[in-house]
Amino acid sequence: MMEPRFKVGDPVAVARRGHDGHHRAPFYLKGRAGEVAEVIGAFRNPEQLAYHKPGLPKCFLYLVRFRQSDLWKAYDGPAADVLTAEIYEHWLEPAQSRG
Amino acid sequence: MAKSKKPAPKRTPPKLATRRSAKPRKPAPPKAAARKPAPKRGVHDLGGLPGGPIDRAHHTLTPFEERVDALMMVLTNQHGIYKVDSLRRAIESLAAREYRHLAYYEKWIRGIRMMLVEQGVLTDAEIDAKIAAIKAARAPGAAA
Repeated sequence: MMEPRFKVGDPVAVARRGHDGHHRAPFYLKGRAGEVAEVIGAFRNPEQLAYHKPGLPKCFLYLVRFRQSDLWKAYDGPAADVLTAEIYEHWLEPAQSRG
Repeated sequence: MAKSKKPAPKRTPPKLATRRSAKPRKPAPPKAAARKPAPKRGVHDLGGLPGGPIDRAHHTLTPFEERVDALMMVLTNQHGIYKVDSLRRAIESLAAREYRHLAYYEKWIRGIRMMLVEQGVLTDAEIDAKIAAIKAARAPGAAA
């Protein structure tokens, strides 16, 4: 049985790479670091389903938590503000712990 | 409605060079570079960009909007012609100018059309002929 590469609390970053065609990593998160908030489960790969392919093997989907102040220049909201986004495992890389 | 086979491609691309006549290949670029092109922002990928004020007013759906929504449900949930992921991909592939100016359900119907053609349910020619027939029937002076 396939195991998730990351666990809750792991520091991760969204890969900073391009991709021709449909993919599930928004531009504003590419290259940004956060931490795994939840391992949601394994699903058929939507980037292959989008081209009428089976999308197998299934791939793990994570809820990743980012600090808003890490995402936006001159963010003036409360320092504790976070943003969570659902990101598939193949878009995540291990990152340095932020402490 | 049965999912029919995809139509055969209309023409095969001309061969640019045969194996024999091809010049010796240049060394391939490093794989890491090939796999990691710089990120580009797609026309649909708007997160974080200034969006202006949001119109929160509700509006009654038009018959067109309701029909497109119904068509989507029938083709996906009932007949499994395509997955929503592929509709999303089709909409993202619209020309930037179209993507910016079309209304929500106008994008959907363009995507649905692409799905029907890709999956071999209808051809572009059949869709165009039907649109032309409906226009002709509705034109002023058309026989009732």
